[in-house]
Amino acid sequence: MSADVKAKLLINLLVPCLAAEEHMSTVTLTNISGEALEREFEELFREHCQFVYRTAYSVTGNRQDAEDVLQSIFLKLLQREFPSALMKSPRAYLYRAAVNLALNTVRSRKHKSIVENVELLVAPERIDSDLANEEMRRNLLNAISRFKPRLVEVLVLRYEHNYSDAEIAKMLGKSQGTIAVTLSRARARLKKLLCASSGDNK
Amino acid sequence: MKPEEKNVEEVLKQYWSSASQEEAEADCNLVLHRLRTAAERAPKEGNANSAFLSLFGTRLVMVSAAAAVLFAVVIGTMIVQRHRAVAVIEKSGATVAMGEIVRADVDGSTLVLADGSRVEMRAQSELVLERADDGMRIRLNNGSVFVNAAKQHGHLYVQTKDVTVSVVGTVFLVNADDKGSRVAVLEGEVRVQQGTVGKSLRPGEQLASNPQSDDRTFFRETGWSPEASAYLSKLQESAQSLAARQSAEGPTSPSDKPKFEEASIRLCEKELPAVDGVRGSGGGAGNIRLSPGRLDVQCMTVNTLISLARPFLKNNPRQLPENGLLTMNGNPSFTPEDQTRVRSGPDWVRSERYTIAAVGDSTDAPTLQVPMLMDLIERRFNLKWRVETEEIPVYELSIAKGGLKIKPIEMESGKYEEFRKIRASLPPQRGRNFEMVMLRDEPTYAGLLGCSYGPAPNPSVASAQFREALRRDGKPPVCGFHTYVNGRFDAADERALGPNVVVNSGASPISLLADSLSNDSGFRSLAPAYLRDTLNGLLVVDKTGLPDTNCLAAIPSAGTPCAPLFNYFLEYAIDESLFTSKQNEKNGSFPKAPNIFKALEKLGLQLEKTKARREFIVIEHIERPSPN
Repeated sequence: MSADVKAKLLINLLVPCLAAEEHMSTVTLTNISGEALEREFEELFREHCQFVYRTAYSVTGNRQDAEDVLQSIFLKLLQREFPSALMKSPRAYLYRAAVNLALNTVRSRKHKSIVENVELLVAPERIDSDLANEEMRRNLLNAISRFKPRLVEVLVLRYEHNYSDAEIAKMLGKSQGTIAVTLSRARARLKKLLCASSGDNK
Repeated sequence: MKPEEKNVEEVLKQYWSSASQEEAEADCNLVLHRLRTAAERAPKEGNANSAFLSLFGTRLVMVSAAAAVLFAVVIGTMIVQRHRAVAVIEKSGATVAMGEIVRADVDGSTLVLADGSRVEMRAQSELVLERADDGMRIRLNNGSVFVNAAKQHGHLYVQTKDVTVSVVGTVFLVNADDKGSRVAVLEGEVRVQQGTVGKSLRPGEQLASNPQSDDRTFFRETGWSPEASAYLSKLQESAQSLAARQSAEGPTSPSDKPKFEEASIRLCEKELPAVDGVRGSGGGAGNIRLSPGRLDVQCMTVNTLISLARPFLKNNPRQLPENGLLTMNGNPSFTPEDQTRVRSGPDWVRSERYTIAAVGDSTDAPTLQVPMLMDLIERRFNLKWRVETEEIPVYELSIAKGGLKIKPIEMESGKYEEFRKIRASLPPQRGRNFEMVMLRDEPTYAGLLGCSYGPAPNPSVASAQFREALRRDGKPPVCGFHTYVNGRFDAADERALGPNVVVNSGASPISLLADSLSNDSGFRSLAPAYLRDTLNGLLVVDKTGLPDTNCLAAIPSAGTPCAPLFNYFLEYAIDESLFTSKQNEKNGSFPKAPNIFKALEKLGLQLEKTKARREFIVIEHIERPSPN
């Protein structure tokens, strides 16, 4: 079953529920095939969860935020009517949602001033002896979080999902030339931000 | 590409944050599990809204109550149709009446009985529900079932053609086939009746009605269950308590000794990414994966493997969380053993990396992991070894002369059982300290202690709230073991740069505090970074003498006290050497907490430098592996 069909089926199953939300009762809801709904929803989830998760992880840089983004997106699908963009291309819609929500997460974290929450005794990871690597990784995440979503979308498709210019263009509905220019601008801006954060303004 | 972009391209490729495949899979499954759990719990609890919110509301603040009601009710429809039925098939919502034959479909099926008991059926299994004099009987005609029995008003029985199992509030596995029946207990206790002979089985124990059947592989067959990982996690706990009971009975005979029967061992030819370059908690060189009846090692040195096969060497940093054993289906990575634990032998034991794939007896029980791994190394590398000790300086965390100034939480014994039941329904936290993660992330789990979880506010606010709650002798707002760097917030760096560390402990054992202070090469611990100077990079050992049995996870053996859990607040100063002079200058405006020694005094604890005997393994003889 194609992703489009699945999305449509999901919508067909859910829209009556949404309409009935005000007068919801067990009787009306039992008429809806819970099994079909669950199966289709789960298939949609399984098909895209890793793509969404990896996207979120590459923007937030940590598992917990990526996990929250993934949950939020799929719960939101049940919360409101489905936009036409989801029907048109579930992957593209979910991707954009992941980038936007991940950026929001990172930006709101700044405002909330969550400074550090060291979870002890977690996975037996090594202590990274090269603090400079970690610092560079954090600087990169910081810089990306300052970008507009459109730039981040292009960057993540290229560097996380290894898409070519043509594939990015197709996914985002832009021309290949636009993508090449966007990538070039993004790199230039990154260079500027990274140099500034390391105090190297050469 | 323009020349000036070249560096940025390299930076992007080298420092891009990517999740490992393990992380992505695990977290996807975790999220899916939460969605399903919400659907399952809502109707049972009769309050879809609160059930849903209790599960998600705290972590996903953006989800409205309306959506919660909608989701819980819509997805949960299959369970609400209970018209005079005694059970319902979870996936289809079809009801089951007494005497009706139920056959599981190709993917297996789960029955939810009226009392809340869950019967998970393996594909093609067949059963009938019957009324018993004092409860209900599940007649298992063929196949396997996992039964998670709710507390009964009467009794729940599972009957096969040759045994009858009677249960009250327990989790167990039953298989019936042509050869006979097998029963294994994961939690609680069951009574198995075979003809006139009756026997009680406790956690970790199993029984086969036919002595010819190979019941050692029984637990290996749990892969059919979607809840296998949770069951296996439970099994690990069960096996621990079984091991405790069996310890007095002496070793098993050599013929019964479980082992990896076949193993492919080859030199790691292609150099995988350098260990330091590995991101996340799995993959790459030096990782090991234990799954039911199978071991996979990727490019590990032999002395690292030996150290994992003998993890309980005294006065060494723990390599793994929880019980110090590998988590089933986890995929942790390890830096090569640095000769702290394993010494002598030829150079190649520290330089040559081996990839191993082994299959054999079930590795599900944690008590089997260690002997099986060591047995494999002994056989294939012709290893001979002994344990020696040496005196090393350590810091002992002990109770000060005046006694503890914090009181343990009063826990009713029944509460531990509630914890264990919820714990069993939750997915395992691979490589993580389950209690600390669940007390933080799982509201129903934390809720048993009256704790809540919300988005972490500014640590200084969180700490103030925590301290105030404890001052009022109230319950802490957040449970689990949390540490923050508290001090001047650097907006550009998005983190505090010091000068203090805050520990908020909600229902955690003191041993965690010792672990957090210890100079530990395996864990992301505070001390190596923040107290390197103060504690001279030494190991901190727990010498408080407090019990350390985690009763939230496993039923303690008779007479074994549970590890007391404490609510406390601790704030201590970080070594100044950690900061640059510029940072120290900025930190100067933030009040500095007392050093760790003074801070611990407030809890009635002390750190004393002393000496302890550290155990290590000496390789007496070893050869390169025999051909596969």
